[in-house]
Amino acid sequence: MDSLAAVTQVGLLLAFTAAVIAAVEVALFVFIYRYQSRFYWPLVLGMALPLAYGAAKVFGKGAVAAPDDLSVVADPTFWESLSLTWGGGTFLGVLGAGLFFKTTIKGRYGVPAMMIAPAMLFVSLLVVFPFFFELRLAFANLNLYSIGRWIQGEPLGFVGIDNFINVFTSSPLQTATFWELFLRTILWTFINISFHVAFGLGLALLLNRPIRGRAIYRTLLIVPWAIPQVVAVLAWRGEFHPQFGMVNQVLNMFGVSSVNWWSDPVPIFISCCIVNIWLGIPFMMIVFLGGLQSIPKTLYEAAEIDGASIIKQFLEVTVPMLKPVVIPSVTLGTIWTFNNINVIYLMTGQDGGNESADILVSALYKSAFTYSRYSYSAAFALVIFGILMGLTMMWMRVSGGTSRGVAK
Amino acid sequence: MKKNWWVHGILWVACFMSVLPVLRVIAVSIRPGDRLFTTEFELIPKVTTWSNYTEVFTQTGFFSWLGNSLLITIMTAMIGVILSATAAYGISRYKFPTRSALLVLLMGTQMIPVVVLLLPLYFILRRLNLIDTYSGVIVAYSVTTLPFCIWLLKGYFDTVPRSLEEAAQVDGLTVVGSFWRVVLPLSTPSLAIAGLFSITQAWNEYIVARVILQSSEKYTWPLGLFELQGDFSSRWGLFAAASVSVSIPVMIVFLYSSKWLLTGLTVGSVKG
Amino acid sequence: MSELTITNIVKSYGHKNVLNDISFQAKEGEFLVLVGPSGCGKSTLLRSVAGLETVTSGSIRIGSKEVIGLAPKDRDIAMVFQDYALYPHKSVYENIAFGLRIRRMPEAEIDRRVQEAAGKLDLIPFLNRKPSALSGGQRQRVAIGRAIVRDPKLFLFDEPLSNLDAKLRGSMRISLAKLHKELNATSLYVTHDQVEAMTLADRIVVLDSGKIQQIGKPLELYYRPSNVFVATFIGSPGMNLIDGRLEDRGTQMYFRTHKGLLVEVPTDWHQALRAKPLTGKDLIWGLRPENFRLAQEPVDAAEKDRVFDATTVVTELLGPTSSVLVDIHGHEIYVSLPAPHRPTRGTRLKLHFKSKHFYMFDKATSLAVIAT
Repeated sequence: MDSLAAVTQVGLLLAFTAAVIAAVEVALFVFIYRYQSRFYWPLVLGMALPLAYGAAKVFGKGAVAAPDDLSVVADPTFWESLSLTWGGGTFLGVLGAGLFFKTTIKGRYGVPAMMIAPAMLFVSLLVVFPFFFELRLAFANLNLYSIGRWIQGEPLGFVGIDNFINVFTSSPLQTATFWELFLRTILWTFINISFHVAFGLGLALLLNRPIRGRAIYRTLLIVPWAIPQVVAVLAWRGEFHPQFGMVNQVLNMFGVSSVNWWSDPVPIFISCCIVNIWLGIPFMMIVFLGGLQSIPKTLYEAAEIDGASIIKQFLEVTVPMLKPVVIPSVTLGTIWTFNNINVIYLMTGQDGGNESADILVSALYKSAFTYSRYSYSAAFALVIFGILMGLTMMWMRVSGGTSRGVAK
Repeated sequence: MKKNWWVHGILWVACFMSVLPVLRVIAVSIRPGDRLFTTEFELIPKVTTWSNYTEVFTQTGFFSWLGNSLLITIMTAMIGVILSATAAYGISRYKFPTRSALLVLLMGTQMIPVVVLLLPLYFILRRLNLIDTYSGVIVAYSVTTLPFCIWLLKGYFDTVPRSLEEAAQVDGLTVVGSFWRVVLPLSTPSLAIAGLFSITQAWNEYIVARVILQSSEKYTWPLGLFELQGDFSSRWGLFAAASVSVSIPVMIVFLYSSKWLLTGLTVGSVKG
Repeated sequence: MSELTITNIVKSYGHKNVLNDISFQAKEGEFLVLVGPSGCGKSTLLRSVAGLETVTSGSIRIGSKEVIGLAPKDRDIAMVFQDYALYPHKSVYENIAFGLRIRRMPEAEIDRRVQEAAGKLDLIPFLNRKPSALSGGQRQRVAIGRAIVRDPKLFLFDEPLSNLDAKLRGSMRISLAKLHKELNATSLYVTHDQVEAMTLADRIVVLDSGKIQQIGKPLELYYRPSNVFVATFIGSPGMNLIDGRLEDRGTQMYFRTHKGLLVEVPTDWHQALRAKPLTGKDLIWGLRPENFRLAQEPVDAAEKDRVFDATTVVTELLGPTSSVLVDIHGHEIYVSLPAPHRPTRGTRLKLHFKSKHFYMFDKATSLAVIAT
């Protein structure tokens, strides 16, 4: 593709989106808020009619085909899809909320409703609605064979909790069972977080010393975090190549025979762990370094006067003072690692690949999009959702202040 | 300094480990094609060539991938920031029924990986004819970025004293005007963090894009890169050249902004 | 400049009235101070006048214009906030000019006004600084500058001095008084500090639990408090209160405290007291600490019955005066004595209470028995 044309088109597109969103929001705020009484109803009618037309066009029977493609920027259907998804949603949100609250509760919630509604509309469209849809799917029997009929208009069936039972009894992939995946997820999370914390803390302690070249060390150590994850994982995958990869070459240098990292069950899991540990250390290191630097020097001086040894100082001053940094970052890291699909999916290859490294989320992805077991995956997703909720509750319990934070 | 030799020693090893794969990729990228499949471990190639770069730039869809990624990234960030700024302000400033439920929803959403919701989202996008479109990818990315940006900005707005807006209102602005002319200019750093977060999310995303984008001319760069690396045997050098070209600007931006990002993360989700 | 008229303002959250039927008027150019303990509704009232909060019912007029329902920007007011509320991203100059810019005033006029205001407040050297580079007192002056530059119909002050340290507060109080003399602008000033109220106000409105307790000139409130609340709130240290009853013995009237101390009531009160059915009612006798003096100097015959034997409990030295807690017939009473006197614990004193400062309140209603 002609790159100049591409740049121009990108520019056009950006300008357009910005214009749609900004114009809709600003116009509505200005008009509804400033001239509420005089212009409100004419405005509502004037803007609703074209919108209704557009909506009818998109959601109606003759819906537009494949709307956007850089080569069809000039095609009006593309603009329709764009402005209708974002501009239209924003508009409907602002309008609906403003309308509802202004007319019903005497405008008390008018302004906040208008401000919140657009984003909330999208959050509900993107999070809440999919969730309920997923719930419905989980009780249906949608798979590669029945999807065609569903698209033709056949209603979703109802099979009770069969899918949920299947999640625990049959493999989400080909052989790996749910419990196997579950245990591996726990192992995966535990191994990764332990190494992240251990190495992160160790390096942070070293970097916290007044040594020469600290800034350079810090920058170099941050590299794994800075590099795009996809690049890093794919590069590592190359290094684990059984024949040409660096890892085996180094092992050979020490007289160890090559390991088949790409296909043997245990090595493939180990290689995933190594990659993810390598990726995650810098985050912990930086967080801990920040925590260490915020500990007042006077505490160490006081401990020294009290005659505490270096180890004692570490245990009695550093550890307790780091706690407020460690707890949230470890919980955050736990959730990230639990949810980390990138590393495993990219390391094991896309087409089902090797199952012996899969964790819950990567298995879910494969079962939905590689094996096309839709209803089964919906149930599986809800089970994972439940586990995550449990984790979150635990976090709230541990960090304590969360409910207060929410209330604030 | 002598006392610290072991500190420097450990840090040297750690630094070496952390940059080694990067150096390897760079080395591979400038290695001529006939020396790609060497079984010797060599970090600095004896013969160098730029041919991998020229081939990536001319023979693959590299710039098209970059353009696609750029488009999707910037739009995701813009939508995230614009929509979440108003919403976060509303949530921060007004007490209304359902407010706390909303906050729990926003926070809960951050715990859930997008994969869990990807299937229903896929069907919805399919129904709306948004599969294999940029809009579809942007919609899906907003699942992650919107709640996070709202949460982050809400946390920031909570720290802006209310009397500032009251002063602005007494000075002659409307409620919306005081938000626009006083609160927003004050919040540029947080808006930047929210934008930066959305950008890094969208720029590096692979899993979602793979489901939604199907035709190769719409691929974002991670999809393209995987394709290059997928058939490993023939295009390892191309993959390396493309990786280097993509990563260097990203790493510069990241190293420059890592402090910001970190504060953003802690303000946004840790403080919760 | 114009007057401010507040009529029957009520504000309620659910069943709780935060403001209860408030009515008063600030005349043109008057400096009116709203004073009361925290939570009494004074800030709510001020913010309602500003339009930052809504009221349930009632009317607020600035000049002849009804402002209920108007946005703050349409009320032509200026306000100084407790935390100054300076825009942190704007320079001092821009902070002061902001309100004028919003009103699209010509640049030359803005500059003239900002310079003039800055001159009045000694802010010229700081015009290009950001608020974060200023001290507390300087920020306070910028906040005031931002208000006066607008030349509004009404100034509102929300505890503007409470974030300053004691010394600065004193000097800012004097600057404010001077500024008001110069501008002669109608002002509504909220504070919880009765000293501020007494020194700055033309008139004071005392608020408690959402109700007006008394409106009057500073000394009126001091000498003629209309109820127990005002009596204890105004004046420092506060008034001593003793429960008791009135005894009428024909030619003489006595106040018998609940511990049996008998005090003669001044004769000029007799007639007014007899006009009300007070005998047998529970009353409160109020004594201001500063109305006592040592009875060493000769006391004339008519005052003889108001000389008490007292035993010192604690003495606090305040410099010019000593605050002494004494025991008079079992009642613990605070007394202010001039500095040379610093009785130690247990020292016996003869204290004379001046008869013309005689306060009496009805215990049931807390109201002053005689409106003087």
